[in-house]
Amino acid sequence: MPDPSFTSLRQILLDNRNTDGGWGYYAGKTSRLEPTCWALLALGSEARPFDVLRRWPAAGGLMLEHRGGEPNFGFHGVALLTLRALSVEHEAGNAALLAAVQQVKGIALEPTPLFKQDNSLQAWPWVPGTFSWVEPTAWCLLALKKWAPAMPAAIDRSRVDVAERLLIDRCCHDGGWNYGNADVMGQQLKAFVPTTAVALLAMQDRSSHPAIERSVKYLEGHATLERSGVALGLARLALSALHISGESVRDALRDQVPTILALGSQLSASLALYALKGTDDGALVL
Amino acid sequence: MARSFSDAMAGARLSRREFVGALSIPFLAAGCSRRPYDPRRFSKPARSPVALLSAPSYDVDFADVIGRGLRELDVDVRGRRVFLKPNMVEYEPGTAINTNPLVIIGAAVAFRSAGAAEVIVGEGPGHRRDTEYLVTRTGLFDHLREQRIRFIDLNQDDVRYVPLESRYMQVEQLALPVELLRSDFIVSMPKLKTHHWAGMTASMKNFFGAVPGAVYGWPKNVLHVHGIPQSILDLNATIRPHFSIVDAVTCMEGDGPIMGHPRSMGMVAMGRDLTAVDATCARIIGLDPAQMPYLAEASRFLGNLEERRIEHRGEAAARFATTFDVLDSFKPMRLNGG
Repeated sequence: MPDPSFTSLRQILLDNRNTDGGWGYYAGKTSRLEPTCWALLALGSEARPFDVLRRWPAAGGLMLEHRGGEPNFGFHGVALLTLRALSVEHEAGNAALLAAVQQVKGIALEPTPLFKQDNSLQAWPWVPGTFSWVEPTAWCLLALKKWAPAMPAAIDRSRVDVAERLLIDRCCHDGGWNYGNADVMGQQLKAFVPTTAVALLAMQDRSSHPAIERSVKYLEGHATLERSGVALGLARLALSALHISGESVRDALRDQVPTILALGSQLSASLALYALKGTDDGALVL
Repeated sequence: MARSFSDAMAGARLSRREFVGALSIPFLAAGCSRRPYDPRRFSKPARSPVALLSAPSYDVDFADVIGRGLRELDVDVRGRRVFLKPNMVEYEPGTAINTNPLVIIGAAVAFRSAGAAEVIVGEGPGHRRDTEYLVTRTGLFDHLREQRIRFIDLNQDDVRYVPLESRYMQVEQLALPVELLRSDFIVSMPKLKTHHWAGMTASMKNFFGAVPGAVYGWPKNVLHVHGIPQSILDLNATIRPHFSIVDAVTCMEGDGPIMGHPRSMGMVAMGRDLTAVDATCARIIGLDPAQMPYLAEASRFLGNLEERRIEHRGEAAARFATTFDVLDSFKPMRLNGG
């Protein structure tokens, strides 16, 4: 008998797909890159054809966050993972999308005693002209690692290296990551579950590093404490990629479904569905 | 102990002292050449009423308190679409980080009773991407569901690019959430807190949460790159909020806006002129609003700062007056000179 949580999440995504083939963050809203990618991943072949992704607007090899908008490098990374998982060739060429994002760098800043971190590391910002943060860096890093076996010559190892160094540098004292500052004005900051999960997905092949070991422990201990479709979904996906049982997270995610449906976030619904399906399509696994 | 705060200032180029010290430069430069706003597009009221209402704890009936304030200030929202913009940043038990959900719901009920056609609540947290977690964990979601009030995640709403009405940030336009722009009556609903970069955060700085994270990222580093006071001014000049209701029942002092300590005040402040409301709050917590660069600059074109132009309604300000603990770098901002 089908899981009712699974069925309701699937149905809301099928019902609320926009006529252009994409999804907004909420029903009735315009299609945006991030919820579109996650809904496509969650629905898989049921969402064919994938023309919306193949033709998603891009400028200079960078996918736009929304039509008429600007690139968002974190979501560009998510899109690269989706293209790979669904075997879709973007009309600009996937090699061009990979090349363009590797040209992007966050701004470097002078060192300051206010922040215990290496401000010279230039990984990925969310948007042009800003600093490098954990989540866009992690998504772009994971995308490069996922594409490396298929296009080894297209991957600039120096970009992988700086992204890994940044994630290690920004890791919180007790493990895990927040948006991207571990220590500000002498205060150790707390990690968040979703950003920790994303960073661990990107660093799943570096599991012997002490910062990653600490962070895995952090996620195991905190995964069910932040209740949302996004937090629980990403936690489940990260634990799965690390070959750690996530049954308690799956149960918590199932319990969260009524709230997800009530709030109506299609990003949350997509991530929850993708994590609940548990079919390892390898989209996020190295 | 690990702290919950996440501040975006890794993207800032200046220390706090340098940051505060540098603020006068662009404004002065602007004054010497061309104002960063068109004075014909702004008009300050001759006098700005600000209502100060007693709310000793979160057990009071906020629909009643806020309803009285609306009547005191002759606010007419009949048939209008009211957008409540609270301040929700992070969830940490026992702290005073967020606008209390009881104040938000009390305001929603009061505006409905005053004849609003629709009341919406919306926020776009600056560091936490996970609004679902914040809205549920703080308890706001249960109240919204009970009252059948829509919540808009301002980080993920559809956007429209809007030309800025002032040019302190020196950018032409910003993407802003359409649900906010479509509203007839925008209400800032901040928590009154000290702020370790801006001195104090209340009605005006609250609009950082209107900048969509999906377009600009988390933290909203674009605002820091262009300057916090500059961004506060441009957002308020462009969004033109209609009203403010400040949750000063339990405030935050010290290393705000997240790491500070709760401080009980028992007050709700309300008014149409956000500059006047924030200037009043600053004086009540012992800070000189004229020393806060964004408030001083706002008084040139957005609203009233001088005491003689602010008319207190309800309780006397002296009833709530106190001196908040502030970081050393903000002690020169104190009314008594530190």
